[in-house]
Amino acid sequence: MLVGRRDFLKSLGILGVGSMVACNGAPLEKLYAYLTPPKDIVPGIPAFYATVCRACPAGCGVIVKTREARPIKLEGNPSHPVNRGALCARGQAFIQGLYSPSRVTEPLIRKDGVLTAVSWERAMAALAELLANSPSIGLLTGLESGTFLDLATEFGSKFPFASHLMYEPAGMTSIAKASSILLNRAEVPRFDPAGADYIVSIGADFLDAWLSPVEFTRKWADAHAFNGDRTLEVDYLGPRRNLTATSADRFHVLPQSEVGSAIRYLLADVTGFPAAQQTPETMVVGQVILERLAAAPELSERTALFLAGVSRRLLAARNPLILFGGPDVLTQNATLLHAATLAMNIRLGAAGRAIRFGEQYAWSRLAAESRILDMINSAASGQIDTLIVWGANPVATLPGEAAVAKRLEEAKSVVVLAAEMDETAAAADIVLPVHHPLECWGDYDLTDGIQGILQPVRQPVCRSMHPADLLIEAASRAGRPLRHREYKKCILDHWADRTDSLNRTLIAGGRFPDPPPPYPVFPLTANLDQLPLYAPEPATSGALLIAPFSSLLYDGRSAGASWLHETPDSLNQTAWEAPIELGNTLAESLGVRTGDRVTIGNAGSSVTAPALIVDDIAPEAVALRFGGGRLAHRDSVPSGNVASLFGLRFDPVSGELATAGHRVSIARSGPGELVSVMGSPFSDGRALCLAMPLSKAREGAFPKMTRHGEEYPDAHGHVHGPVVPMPHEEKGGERPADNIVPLQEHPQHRWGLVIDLDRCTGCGACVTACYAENNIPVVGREEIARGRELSWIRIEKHILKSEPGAHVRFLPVMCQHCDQAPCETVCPVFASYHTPDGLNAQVYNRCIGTRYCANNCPYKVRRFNYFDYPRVSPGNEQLNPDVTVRSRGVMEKCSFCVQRIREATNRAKFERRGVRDGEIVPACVQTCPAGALAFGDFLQPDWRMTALARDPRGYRLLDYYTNTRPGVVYLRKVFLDGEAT
Amino acid sequence: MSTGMRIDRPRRVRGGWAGGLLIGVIVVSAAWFLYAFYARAHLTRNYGDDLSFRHAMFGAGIEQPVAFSHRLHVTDKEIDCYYCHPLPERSLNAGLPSVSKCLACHDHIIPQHAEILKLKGYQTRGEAVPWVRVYYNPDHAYFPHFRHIQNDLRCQECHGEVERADRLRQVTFYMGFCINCHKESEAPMDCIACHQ
Repeated sequence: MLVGRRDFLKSLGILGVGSMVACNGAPLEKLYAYLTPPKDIVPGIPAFYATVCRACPAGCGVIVKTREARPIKLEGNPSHPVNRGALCARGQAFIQGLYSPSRVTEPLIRKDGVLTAVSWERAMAALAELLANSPSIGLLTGLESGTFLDLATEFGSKFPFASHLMYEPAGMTSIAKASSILLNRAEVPRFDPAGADYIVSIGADFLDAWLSPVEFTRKWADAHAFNGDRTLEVDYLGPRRNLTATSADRFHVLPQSEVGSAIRYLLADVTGFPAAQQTPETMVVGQVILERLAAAPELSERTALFLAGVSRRLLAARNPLILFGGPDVLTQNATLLHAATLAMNIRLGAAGRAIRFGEQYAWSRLAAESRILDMINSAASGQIDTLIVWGANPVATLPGEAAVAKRLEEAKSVVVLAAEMDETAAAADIVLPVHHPLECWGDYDLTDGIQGILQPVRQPVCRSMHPADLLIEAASRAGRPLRHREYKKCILDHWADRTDSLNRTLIAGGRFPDPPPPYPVFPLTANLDQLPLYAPEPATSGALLIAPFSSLLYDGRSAGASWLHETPDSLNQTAWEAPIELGNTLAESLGVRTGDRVTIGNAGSSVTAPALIVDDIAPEAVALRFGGGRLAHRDSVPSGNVASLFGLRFDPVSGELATAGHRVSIARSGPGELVSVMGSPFSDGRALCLAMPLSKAREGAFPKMTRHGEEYPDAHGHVHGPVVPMPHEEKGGERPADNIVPLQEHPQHRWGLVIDLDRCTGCGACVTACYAENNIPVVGREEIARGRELSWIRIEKHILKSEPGAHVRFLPVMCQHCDQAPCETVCPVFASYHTPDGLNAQVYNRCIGTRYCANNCPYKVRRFNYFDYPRVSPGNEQLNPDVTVRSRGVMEKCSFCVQRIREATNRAKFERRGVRDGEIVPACVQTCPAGALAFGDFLQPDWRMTALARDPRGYRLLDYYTNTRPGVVYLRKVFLDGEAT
Repeated sequence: MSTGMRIDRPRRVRGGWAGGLLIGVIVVSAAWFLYAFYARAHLTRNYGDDLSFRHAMFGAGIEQPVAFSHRLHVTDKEIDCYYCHPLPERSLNAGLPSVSKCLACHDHIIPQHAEILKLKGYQTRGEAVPWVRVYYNPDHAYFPHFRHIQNDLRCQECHGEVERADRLRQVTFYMGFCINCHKESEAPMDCIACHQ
């Protein structure tokens, strides 16, 4: 048909009008109501559930905040005796495991060498058939307790069962062995630094990744933070600077080869101390261990000098405590060295007080690595027919030389119950998706006095099963049903016997009865012949490998959580990296510069990663932390797994894996890039991260910040008044030019934050908590390399070599909420403005993305959304509905958690009262294990935060240069002066 | 000319059927649009007056999966707003009635009515009723119902005379609407009071 021009236009017009008439401007959204509303879900109001964090075996209690039945944030359980409301970075990121994109969503069965998805029905049938026909079954799990152990025992009684072993990397099995030899108690004691006045740590990174870092950090901060005086001193000896070394009063770089000798030196001195605890047995124990340690090499002069000081202080201290352990120093002599440390602690009176036995500490149940490896080897050789693995990742954490993945392939059938896809699941024959611990009923008995209960906080994210229910179901299908039909009922029955009110227990997160009185410690001499002789390190060539656990990734089990990669490592200031750290001399001899790609390796395997040249590391040593090269985020973190470099070296007595003492070759393999978030660690003469000597602080001689720098009181002892004026005391600047912007008026509140640098350990928990609370997108490695990170808080690292103490310091910096904010005056659209209650607010709707504010901010805390950063489903379910999700082209920054301020003020208004002290707790303040941050209102003189802000150690960052009048007050770090060694 | 060539003169445009229709439609729709835009702006400021006229102009409000009438329930049966929307005093949201709440009454009242049977159908299928959203807040605005209800605002001050309408019209609230009221009632005028 021929259509003329006119007809065409006519019909076009009609069509156009028609289509416009059909338009409806409003979007059509649907609202879904419940068919029958659940009792505890009220739309718009959060519900909280108490459970236990299983990101490491420390067993902190958590409260999960849920909105509309979706968990959105974890916070420490304030009534839990381990963490008292605080949580570390790993704990904050634990919720990401729930929504992880690497969750196993359906059962997988290996077909022609490839894991293929099958239905649950088929997978369960296959498992039941395996169980029914296997002549021998082995069970390998992570650290479990109580009900699950009973269930495993019952399961074992129904089937031809080899054994049930529990495995945790760095499982402290040699401590248990040492105490079994010295005290006839095969258990890991519970360490409690509270009350100690002097702590010597040899390798134990107790503020960061050793045993129970949140608990230790709290107790350390309470005793160590300056509060008129200080009651605790900490010395750290270790092969590499870590967070404990940085927060310690004295740090000595102790090469791995000298660890045994250092302990021998101290033991020799301590055994000779005159003390009330001296009994013939302690003398004999000391002497015998000293004889066993005779082969330890000579100490270097520097170390001997440092140890002389340590020994002097041990003698002078009233309650000294020696800690030893951690992957940095665990060699083949682990049991012997633990025995020596225990003998010293007994001698010093610490055992029984700060080191307590008889509390049934959960760690005591762990099996040593050599036993785990034996189990895997018997699976490979066919002695164990079916190996069931849950909650452990032996492929990634056992030595590369053991070739666990290959062993598992040789094994007849390996069934892995996995929540997230990991290396062990990838090597399995059957992979069954199981619940994340936040979806599980369960219990975790850390000690007799700390019994936590786990409850599910949401419906399962994917079609998974509870691992225990899976065993119950499989047993029943295999024709040998267990007594219980449902694990939830097991748990509830178990707890009904323990408590009179199950509901109260669920609300409290467990049961925390008073622990039994510490078991008295009597050293025995009967078993001393079990102690081996010191085995000197073989004199092979190559660099000594240090394989530390890091604060963020621990042993790497949290490698799937993107916040933990995005949160920079405070010490290295690197994100999305597991760099190879090496010292200056070694780097120079190899011609390596920071960022170059370096290959370390041995005969079996090698790891290539960017090099990072660090100051404080043993010469001839390289460090590569655990957590790199994992299946999750393998492409984003270009590094390797450090465990793949381990040889088969075990402590012969306890069977614990030696993570220290491995030798690697090292070579530069080419240029590369290291993603760092740090501009420069040097202040170039500006007073940024301030500290003061303890002697001056004790005298009450506090410096005042002036335009000319820090000034201490004059010779007449004149002490200046409060360093930081409260907002209503502001007098305006000294020069007329300082007063262009009129002073702010705050009719009701002036919110502010106090940060005690003497408490901050740089652990990064606040950074991760901020990601969780404020919907901060993860930008990834490439974007961070371009300087486009979006974190609202950063932990700055400052190196002050010229100053006498505390060379390396951390400074948490977030928006300072200045009264005279430089960002506000330059915004062309008033997106950045000052609220009457003292907040520097950022209005996302108004922001047009000129970025003038970021350029004018002297603190560099404003972050720009260069893109819309997608959140992979179901990760979007974690978003906090009270916080705007920012889109591309918008500036954002710390808001002092305005949603929490609003919530508290709303509640106060409703109850017709004022806001109470401590009612407003921003996410960073809430999670800080050391209690370094305090939030409050400057206009309320009796609030805790205001009292802290008036501390004479206070100063405001950059204020004396820029006259910004920030709402954040920093309290100077207090360093130990005088005795340098 | 002399060659006998014929030159077509442009023919006079005769008003064809399509032309007339086009002009008519354009005029009518322009008037309709002008009114609609005016009414929308008007509506968002002083929602609640003159509902019947707008309903006559635009037809009824949006069609819902179950023909629920607010007029019948609120005006005729005198059921309180908070009976079905129970949360505005304490939550961000006002809350929608669950199907079980509807049926708590309607199991006894007109249980065999076609619309009630529809509702029961949703329940037996275990399916949520896909109610169409009527009131919209723009993005990046934080609106807590409870702050407003706790300050003794009546629902009608924002939602209009819902009790007079069978079907509700879709409404988007804009900032001017909020600000006017905040000014008058001396409520917070701080940007981050709403844009947090």
